[in-house]
Amino acid sequence: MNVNSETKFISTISHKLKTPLNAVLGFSELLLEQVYGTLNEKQIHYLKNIHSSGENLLTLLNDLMDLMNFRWGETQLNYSDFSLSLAINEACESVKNWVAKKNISLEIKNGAGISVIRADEDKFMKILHHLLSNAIKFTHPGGTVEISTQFLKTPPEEASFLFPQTYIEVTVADTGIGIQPQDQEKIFSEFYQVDPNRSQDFEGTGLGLCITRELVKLHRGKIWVESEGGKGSKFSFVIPRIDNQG
Amino acid sequence: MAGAKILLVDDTRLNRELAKDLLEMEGYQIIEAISGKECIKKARQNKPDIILLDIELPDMSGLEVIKVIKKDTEINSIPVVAFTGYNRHEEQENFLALGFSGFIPKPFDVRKFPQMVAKFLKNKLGS
Repeated sequence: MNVNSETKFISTISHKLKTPLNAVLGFSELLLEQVYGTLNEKQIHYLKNIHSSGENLLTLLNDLMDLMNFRWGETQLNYSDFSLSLAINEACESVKNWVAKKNISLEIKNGAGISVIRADEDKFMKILHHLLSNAIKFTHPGGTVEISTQFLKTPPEEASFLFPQTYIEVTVADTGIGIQPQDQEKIFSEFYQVDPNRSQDFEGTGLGLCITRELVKLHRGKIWVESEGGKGSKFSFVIPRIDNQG
Repeated sequence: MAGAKILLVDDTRLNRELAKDLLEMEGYQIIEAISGKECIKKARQNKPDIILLDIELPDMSGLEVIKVIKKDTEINSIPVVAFTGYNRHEEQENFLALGFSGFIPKPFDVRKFPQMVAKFLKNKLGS
């Protein structure tokens, strides 16, 4: 099978899988709205299980498609100018219900000197979403997740390969379970999940950080993590502020 | 907008049933079609206010269906919305180039779906 027919094959499979998922998600959601009558607690609980399993499957499917596109070199960036603080607010808004449910405090710290940035807005939002989701997932109730931005005139040491221009750094710090030094590079690999015995408590596809790194790389940036086991993690990425070559 | 006529084209029974229930709750009149040919026939017969068109159909693809619709002066002013799981950016660009008024991605959010349809209807009535 050549690359083109493989692309088409997987794109078709993904579409075929989404069709029944549409019914699973839609009907369970419709029942949960209780427009056709009141449900008891157990019924609501089971329906929520069906719905969240469907959502997990959909996330997995979308993540897989993203990864396949990276492999095929089919991912292209559509650069535009947009407001960094609005993007951060929107990303935080999309996880609002989740942090409220887990009783996690989500804080935003916008650095001075940044307003408009140039990047692929959809993909930038995906990066923010994956990092926030990851932080929330591994933070215990009562903990804190903080997202901060800063404008850099020189690249940080971790990203020293970048050529000279100005940069945007975004950091997502959490008070979660942390990552042991030996796992810090591996967590960006496909399907790598720290400590398989624990993975049942933290559902996920194991693809989020891998996709995030690819998206940062496409923006000619760099991502890294600083963490001590048990003391939370700090994910940072840096991308050039303006990229007219995009 | 209540009472607007919507031609819903999807070959998957469960998806049609879900979309139909949601749209009927909003007071729309739903006409169903399960193939490309049936879509074109019913569009000519019923002159719907909008067509929600699945891309993967048994007899012809939605991309072929819209070409036929856009060539037919009787029905070429009806907005056609792609109703599909093909959600990649390149695919969406292609839809717009072919004359689709927009797209509603599948799987859709039950709460947002009627609002999305209403937005397309509003655009049509406003134009």
